[in-house]
Amino acid sequence: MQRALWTLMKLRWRAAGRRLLRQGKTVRGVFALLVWLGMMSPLCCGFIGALVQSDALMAPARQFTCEFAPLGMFLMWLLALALSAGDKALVFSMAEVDFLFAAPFKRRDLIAYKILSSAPNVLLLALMFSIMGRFSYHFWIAGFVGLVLGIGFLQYSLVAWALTRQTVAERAYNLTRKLLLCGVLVAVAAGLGRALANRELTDWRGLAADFRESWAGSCLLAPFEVFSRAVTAERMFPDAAGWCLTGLAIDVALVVLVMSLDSNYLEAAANASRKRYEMAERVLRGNWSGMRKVRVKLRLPPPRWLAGAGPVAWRQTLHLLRTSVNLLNAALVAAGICVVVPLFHDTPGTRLAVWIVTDYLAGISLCFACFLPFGLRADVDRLDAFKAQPLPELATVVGELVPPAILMSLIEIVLLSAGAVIQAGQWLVVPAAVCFAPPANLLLIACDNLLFLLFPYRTAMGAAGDMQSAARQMLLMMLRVPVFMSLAGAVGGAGALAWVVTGESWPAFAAAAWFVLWCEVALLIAACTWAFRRFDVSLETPGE
Amino acid sequence: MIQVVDFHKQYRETVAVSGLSFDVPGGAVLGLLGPNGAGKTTTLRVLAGIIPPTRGRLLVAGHDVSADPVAAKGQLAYVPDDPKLFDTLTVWEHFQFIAAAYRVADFSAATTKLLEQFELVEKRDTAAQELSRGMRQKVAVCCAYLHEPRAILFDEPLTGLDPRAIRTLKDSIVARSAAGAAVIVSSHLLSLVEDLCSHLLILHRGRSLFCGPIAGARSAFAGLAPDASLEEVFFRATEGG
Repeated sequence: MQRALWTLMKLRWRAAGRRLLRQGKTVRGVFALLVWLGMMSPLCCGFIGALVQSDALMAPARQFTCEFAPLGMFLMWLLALALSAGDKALVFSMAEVDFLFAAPFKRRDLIAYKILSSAPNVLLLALMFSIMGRFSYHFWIAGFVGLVLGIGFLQYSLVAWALTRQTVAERAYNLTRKLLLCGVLVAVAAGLGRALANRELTDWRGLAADFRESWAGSCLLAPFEVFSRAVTAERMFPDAAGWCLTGLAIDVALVVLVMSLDSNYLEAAANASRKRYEMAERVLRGNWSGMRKVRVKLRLPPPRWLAGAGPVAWRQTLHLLRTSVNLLNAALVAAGICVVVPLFHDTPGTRLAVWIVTDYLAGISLCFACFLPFGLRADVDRLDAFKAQPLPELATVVGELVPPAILMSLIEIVLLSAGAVIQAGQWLVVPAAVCFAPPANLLLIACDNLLFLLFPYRTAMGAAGDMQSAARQMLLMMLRVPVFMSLAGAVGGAGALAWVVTGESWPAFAAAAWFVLWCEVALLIAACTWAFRRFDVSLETPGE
Repeated sequence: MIQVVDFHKQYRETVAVSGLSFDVPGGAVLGLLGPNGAGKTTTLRVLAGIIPPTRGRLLVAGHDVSADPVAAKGQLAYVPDDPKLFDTLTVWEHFQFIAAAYRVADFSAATTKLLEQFELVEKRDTAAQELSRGMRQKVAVCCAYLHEPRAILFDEPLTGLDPRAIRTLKDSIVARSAAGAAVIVSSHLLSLVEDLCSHLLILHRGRSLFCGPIAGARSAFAGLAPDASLEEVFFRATEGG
């Protein structure tokens, strides 16, 4: 690899370190670092737990890892292959595309740079997993090295696959990919068929073991067995050392293959990089699906004035309707997960209650409001355009916040109603959802937007070493929970007070809670309006 | 139409603009010139009501941008240097939105005319995120014209435009100015300023070096020939060379 690329890597690592140090010099930075470390501490619990626990207690976890690690790695690899992750394996940053692709570097140098520059990430990832899952294997060092080699195998095999794609014609590639996938699926079907002949469908653990022992399973899982045996070895010598060396040999062979292929991948890599960048940009701008094509056939009648809020709400509604495919999918997945939790509870009443709580708090509202950019947070790059429009700030805020609250409420009402029927057949949930979901969602979104306007940040992965950015995002996540809980507490408290005063009347409870909920909504919207007015886009718009 | 009196803008410790005063009457086109970091974009963004001034009075059609922002913005259009459109809205829907926000009663005819003028008819139902940089710029310009503003602010308006669109935009600026609008054009393209502008404001490190009719700029700096180019005027003003 050319010296200039080493210099670039060195400069980037140094810059990451410098940023970290600079952040450490400010009170805010130290605080952020402490919060980040505090948040990371649960990850270490597994490590500490493994030090104090006896081998007997950890044996089931280790057994589980031994059984499923190769299968898990194989499924990850298969998924990447099926989704044509070959392109993704060649993704560079846009700055790298602009500066390095046009510079006098050999293609091999760039691939070597790509592999080497991702090495710290591989090491960090392996370190994190090895600490988190310390109780799952015998020796930490073997686990760490095995994970490094395993992650490397996934990465290098995908790069090799992507480069192969460039060396053969598109048609031949597609044909080969389909044949390979078909072959893998036939082998999986053969292995599973044999296992299914001997076991019940519900005995998934036995099925996995049988598949692993079948000839098809043995062939498919062979490379992954090496890395999982390195991770779960019971003795350092010769087991762990031997498997690690074998894994290293496989990785080295793959790297040699990657280097020898030397296909002209630059155009494909530039395209893949640009697509990834554009998709990320679209996601950050509030188009959660990241799709380039927008379904413009979805139309709305012309906007009404509504004291200025109408045009803003109209624009926001159109945007939501056209980008809500993934939102709906996410809602269904969340609801699916939440259906599983209550199944462990015995009585239908308890099951229903658990379902509502998990669905509403954990599954949908809280997660959506926190993770998906709604309202002004999604329009971070257009706040200057909003400020330039001749609309009162209150109208802009209301127009931005109400449509997502209505959309989320509709999804929740449908899901909660369906859940009520499936879980216990209690129809009372439906009117309750209709009354409470809209203000509750408006409250969550207003609260989230208020926090964003007061502590502006961009929903994005920080660069390497950007501890402050990660910490700030975590801090805001943490901040939301007590704020949400306090607001919910006030609503519940008011309801409880009314319930006591009126001689245990549930309608009074609901009415008081509903009234307080709307009062909180009004207060938060007023606070958002104030925060939007004082928000200085030239100073507070977070950098990209 | 546009009046700026003793305008100051400070970003924490950095003084972006200091003591700036100027007028742009209706029908005039003011060229805003200055090196990078001179305070041009800051001035336009404060005039547009996007960011607040630290001090000073900025009036648009008689309305104070700080005290009566909604009324001032209603008379104003601002085209930023890199317009951010709403990705998922079509070109036509942008006009629908702007018409609603600026309360333009019947926008269809005006919009169709603008689309034809800027060769956007075929892109009418295309989502903004599928448009090229130049197309987005054209949409932003059309949106700015839709409500017939009395003051128009352009920040580097030619970025990304093809030669035909450049000519269309220049003609449209002249036409808007002739119809009585006050126009400010901030640009590094001196030829554009020379072609279009009747007045000139040269900014350097947040201070005004020259403000007045463009014809008077040559005589304002000693040692310049009567037929000196705007480029020579600019370098004499900013570098003393």
